[in-house]
Amino acid sequence: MAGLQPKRLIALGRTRAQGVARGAAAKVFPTHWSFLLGEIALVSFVVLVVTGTYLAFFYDASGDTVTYAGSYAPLQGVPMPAAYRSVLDISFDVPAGLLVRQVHHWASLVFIGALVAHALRVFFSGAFRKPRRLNWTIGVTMAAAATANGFFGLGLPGDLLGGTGVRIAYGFATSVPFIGPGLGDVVFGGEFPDPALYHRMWQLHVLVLPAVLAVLLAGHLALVAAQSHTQHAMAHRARHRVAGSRGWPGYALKTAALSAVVVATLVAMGALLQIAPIWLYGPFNAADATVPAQPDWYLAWVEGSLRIAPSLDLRLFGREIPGSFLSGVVLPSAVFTALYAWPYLEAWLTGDHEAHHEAERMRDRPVRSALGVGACSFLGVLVAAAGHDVQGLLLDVPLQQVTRAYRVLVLVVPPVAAALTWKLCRDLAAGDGAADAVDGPVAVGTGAGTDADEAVGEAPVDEADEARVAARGERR
Amino acid sequence: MSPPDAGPAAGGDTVGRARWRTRAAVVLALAAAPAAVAVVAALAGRPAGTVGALAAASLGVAGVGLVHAAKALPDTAEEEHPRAVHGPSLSRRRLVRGGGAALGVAAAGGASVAAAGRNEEATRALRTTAWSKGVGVVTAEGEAVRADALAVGDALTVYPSVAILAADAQVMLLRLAPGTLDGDAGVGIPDGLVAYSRLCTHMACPLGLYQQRNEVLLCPCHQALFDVADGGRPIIGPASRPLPRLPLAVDGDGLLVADGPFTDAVGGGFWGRP
Repeated sequence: MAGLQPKRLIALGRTRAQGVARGAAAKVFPTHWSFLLGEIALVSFVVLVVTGTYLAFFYDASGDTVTYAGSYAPLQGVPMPAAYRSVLDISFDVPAGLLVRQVHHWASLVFIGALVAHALRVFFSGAFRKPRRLNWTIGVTMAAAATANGFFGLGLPGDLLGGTGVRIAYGFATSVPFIGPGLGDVVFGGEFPDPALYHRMWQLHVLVLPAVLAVLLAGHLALVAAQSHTQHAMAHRARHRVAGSRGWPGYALKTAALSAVVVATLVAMGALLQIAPIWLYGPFNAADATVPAQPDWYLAWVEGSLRIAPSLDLRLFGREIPGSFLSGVVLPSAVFTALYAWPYLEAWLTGDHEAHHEAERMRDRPVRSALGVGACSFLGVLVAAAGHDVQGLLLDVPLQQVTRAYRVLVLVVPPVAAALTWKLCRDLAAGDGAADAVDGPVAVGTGAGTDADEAVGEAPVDEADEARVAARGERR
Repeated sequence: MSPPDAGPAAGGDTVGRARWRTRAAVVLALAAAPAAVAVVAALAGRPAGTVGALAAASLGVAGVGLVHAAKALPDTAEEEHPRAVHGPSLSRRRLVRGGGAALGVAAAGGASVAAAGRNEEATRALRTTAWSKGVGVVTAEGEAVRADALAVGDALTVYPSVAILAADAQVMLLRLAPGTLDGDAGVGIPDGLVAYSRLCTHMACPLGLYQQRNEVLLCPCHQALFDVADGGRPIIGPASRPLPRLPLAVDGDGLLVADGPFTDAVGGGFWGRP
């Protein structure tokens, strides 16, 4: 516990008190647009909490069968889960209930979208590197928690689409080797569908996962405040300095403006664009499923992989491994493991264990950029494949051929995209090097480390870089 | 090293400050107009969508206007990067990481132990349904189904009389033209009446779509196709197992009954499936 000596604790406390009370106003925040992505996610999260609280006043987490007698005529007299009836009531009888419900649903899509965009910025600019690896880990955990919470939110209304999604998740649980059926029983409260499910999803959706997200969010922001942002190297800015606007009034004003615009957009979407009309889907019923059935976009990669995975007959210890295990358990586990591991993997691969405070440009790290684009295009193809039945219908192509096309695309697109990215990065970096050699330093992102990419990089880049750094007299 | 910070905004550009305050005041006044209309609309009982759109307009004006106001400010300030602060100290870092990992391991371990304890019983539940020899075939409304109820090409969803609407016992009853099914598949198929589990063998979605012309059942979830004339064999899509079949018999009153349980466990793949 060397780090918790009294002196250091006092210093830490003072730093914090000052940091919060006085430091915030004077703190310099970068002004590049890409730093707003995380803030959009933050504002969306707040909107989710506020709208979700209102919805919680009226939602009934019960799987008991009731007969509908509310104001939506087509469903009057229909037996349904009490949860579904309460969401119908929210949609038709609670003041502003439908508006709030739609804002909540749209905000969930924007929240995870902004979160992913933010993660891409951090990934491609190398901002996840030491000393920010812990914060990357926190962010990845938040993405996982947000995705899970979105899934439970889809299941809560007890409609046919959401119920179908829960049924598929139950299939994933029972596919786990050795303990699958028991896991499905424990997590889902019995053989699907079980009325106990609503209580479980409800507790997870409104208490457990939001609490996890809030704690992680606090840690995430505290670390950003302590470590500050990474920033692109600029000609006008000396190394190891942050350029931007002060906390007050510049940054505060911009953040207020951004928050207003995000909330305005979400409310406008909720007011004007219909989403999840569960009264059209009908209540969940084990003998029916909606057609077509697509999940929300952040779950679509798993759905797409379910659709285009070949029907393999894999066996382990003489038992069948269901195909759903690969799509529903192995694929998501692999994606999140790769996300968690990447900062350490990259440090190990490049031998660069230094701390970095400068954001990098994609072109200066062609291998990382290529791998990232390849992985994104892989997931992108899977997302697109989640709509393959609708696409086949629209294009008038037999489903079998659409499936085959996606099986080819998912293998071909990622390596091609990665190779193109690599080539593009190399060419752009070479162009920069030539420009630097002629015109002197402009804006070149440089890593202080000994990246493998640099070792094979074009000579002019390194020379120009050396010259510029030497000219500033900032060589460490 | 670089000199201590003396960014232009540190002392403050008084002209810029005065200007942003004026602009911000104007913006908020402008935003108040649609907000007021929204309040009036809400009080007048207009639809929530209208009120919401007006509220969004008000916020939008405020947001765009504040961006405009912020542009009056001097934009650049610089400060030393807090290089010394590498986040939490090593011990706290270890605590956070170790604590997180321990929580994850504990949760996974607890779930695994609980799941292992329930596994045998749960597996048995997944393997069995309410169907057994002699159980009556009824519709969703509970009416017994006569052996002559269906014409060739017809399909009907049926349940066991002892568990009507049970999710895992739903059956697609079809009458195929005599001679359509090959060989020994004919056992328990009286006069072309064949009964398949209505749950897809991929992810247990209900096979609601019967294409009479091609004699196929289509799963709406992931588009697996099953050939009902060929023992329920999967022909396209992600399913790898044929549909379990329910052998049928006709009792003394001409009513359909089950001649035994399903030929295989119904539904999607699960660990421990026979």
